Amino acid sequence: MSAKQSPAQTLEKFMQRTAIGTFLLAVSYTIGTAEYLVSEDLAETLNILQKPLGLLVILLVAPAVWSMARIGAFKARPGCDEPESFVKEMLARASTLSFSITFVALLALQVLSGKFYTDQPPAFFIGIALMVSLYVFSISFFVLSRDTEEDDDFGDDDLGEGAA
Amino acid sequence: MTSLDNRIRVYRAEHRMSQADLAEKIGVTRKTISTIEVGRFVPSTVIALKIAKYFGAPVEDIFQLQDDDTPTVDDS
Repeated sequence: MSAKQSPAQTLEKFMQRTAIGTFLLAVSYTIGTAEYLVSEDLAETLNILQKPLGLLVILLVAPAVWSMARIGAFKARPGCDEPESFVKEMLARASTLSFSITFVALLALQVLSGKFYTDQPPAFFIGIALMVSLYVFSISFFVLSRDTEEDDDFGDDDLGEGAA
Repeated sequence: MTSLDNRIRVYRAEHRMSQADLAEKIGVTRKTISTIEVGRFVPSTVIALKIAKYFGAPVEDIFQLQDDDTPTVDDS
């Protein structure tokens, strides 16, 4: 990577860090939800484990937000000159998938909440729904946007070969 | 099923450019160029026109539809 990032690279890094932050939040919600199911002592330990995750998310995402602000991406006329990108499209796909699966999860929880864990508070089931949503979003983003291609420098494999 | 083929790799080779070089010139990331080349990502009209403009070639020389049976106005 060059010393100076292009606006497109900054935007891509922002999206990747957002997805990593989302995954960490999902882990945090998993711990938070598990606290309802374990003994009080273990719940306290889990609570201690949960707190640094929030701080880690802030430390991870804040520099990326700052970089975005520096290139003017939050202004009315953004300095980022990437009209669209592969990663941005994959982020949109992951969001759509996450929304759909969260909807199904909410329907399932509505049915299951009357049959299982009936003594649990609504926060427990909301935690599960959020956990599913965040895991699906972050994991599907990583899977969809993975890049297996290495830069082939001058594309001198075969001049006669059309791509795709 | 209609697919979009492209000759970006050929044009890059002719101009001895890496994916990163081309990405920098048209303001996208290397991953975007890489995924367009292999057909994983269909570029917007803006990106297609930028690539064509950069290479000084008509956009249809770089991007072609395959297995496309859309009729032309002359057919009707």
